[in-house]
Amino acid sequence: MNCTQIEELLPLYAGHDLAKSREQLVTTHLQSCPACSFAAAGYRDVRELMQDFVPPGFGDEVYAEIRKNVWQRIEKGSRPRSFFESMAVWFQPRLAWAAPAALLIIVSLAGLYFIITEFNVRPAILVSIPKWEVGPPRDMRDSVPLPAGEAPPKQRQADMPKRQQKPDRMVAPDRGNSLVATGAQPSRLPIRASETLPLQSPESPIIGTDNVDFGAGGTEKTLRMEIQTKDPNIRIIWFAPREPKPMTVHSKGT
Amino acid sequence: MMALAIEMTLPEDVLPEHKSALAYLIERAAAGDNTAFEQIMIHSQQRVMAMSWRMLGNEADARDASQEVFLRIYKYLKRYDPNQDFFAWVYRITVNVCRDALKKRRRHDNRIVPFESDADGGSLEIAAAQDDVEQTFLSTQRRELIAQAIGTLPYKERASIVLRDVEGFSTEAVAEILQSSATTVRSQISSARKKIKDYCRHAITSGRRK
Repeated sequence: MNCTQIEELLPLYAGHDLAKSREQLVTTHLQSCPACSFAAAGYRDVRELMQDFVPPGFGDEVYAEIRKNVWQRIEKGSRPRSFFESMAVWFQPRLAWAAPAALLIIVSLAGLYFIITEFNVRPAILVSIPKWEVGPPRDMRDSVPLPAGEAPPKQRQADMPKRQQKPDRMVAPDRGNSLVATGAQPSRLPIRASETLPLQSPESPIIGTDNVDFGAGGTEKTLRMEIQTKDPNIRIIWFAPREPKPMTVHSKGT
Repeated sequence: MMALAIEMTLPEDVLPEHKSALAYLIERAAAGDNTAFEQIMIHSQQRVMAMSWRMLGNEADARDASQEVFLRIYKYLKRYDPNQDFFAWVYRITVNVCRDALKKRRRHDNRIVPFESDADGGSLEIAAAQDDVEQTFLSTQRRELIAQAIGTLPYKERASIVLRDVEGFSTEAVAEILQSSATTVRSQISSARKKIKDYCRHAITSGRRK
């Protein structure tokens, strides 16, 4: 070992904190190196100097006062807090930081929940209105009435929409058919959009935006719109007059 | 509620053979005996106060820290493991309390904590040229010098060197008190001794120049 390595070990050597083998190595080196021996003596002096690091003598009254204060604090801590003391706790430095931090976390979580919820709900009414379907669906209009007693041909599985192939699975209603203008049975609320179509028999008046016959007297032209929301149990039905009534002189109230 | 500071003589026949008087006091105090806890405070007050003073550097802070130490001992005495050295446990609490006090006092830098001076002026200069006639004066100066040197140490090094060189704990015991490893403690002790040596040499050299 050279002097540099020995010098690194001297602080621990002075306090006998080295392993025996290393301590022996340092001892051997110090016997032959005056410079390192001088440095080791300096560390021994420091060790001796540390023994002078004694506190000033504290009198008995100091210790008695400490014990007295300890008991007072114990007694104070054992009794229930008053209202003002409980309130004062909230203004301690740690709680003063903890309360806003907790509030910030709660607000952040609430905001995150709101954002997630908001993005999950697609605007089903306004956005998912792809088209107006007037009258019976196209496949129904194109089909030829079957002879009596003949069963309709079974639709092939591959031709069916994908979600209909798995009837046990919960699926959202077809938004493409969710907006239907119909005038046959205004009082009936079909559960699914697809169920509304068979209700329109070929004998019923062709529903058109220009020829809707509603009302008790059958004289009022009304447009019915069904809007399927995301929730399959909620459907918005809107009845609107085909044309606004012309304003008469009497209706102005003058 | 105020407990009496009366020296409690322990009846010999009450103590089981394997239990010391201190263990008996601890057991009683943990069970809620305030007189026993008063005795524990009396037995450990000098160590706690001295350690607090060595860590904090002045009497006022040492008093506050000592009170806090005894409050924590009272609070957590039921958690004390009887197989552990009681005073090592007390020292651990003391070191933690002093660390908290230092943090509170100096949140940005706890390296330099000036120790209070016994003598007027607090000069660090060693009167190297003087003879050893004024032994008391010299001793006071040596104490100031080492106090100032320790005051320049970081908290962990200060705690390690005080526990090892002043309180006389072994390196392993210091590691246990500081909840650290023996290797780390040796490194801290080595660094602390080197810094103290350099500080003292610098102070003595500058004193000789003047």
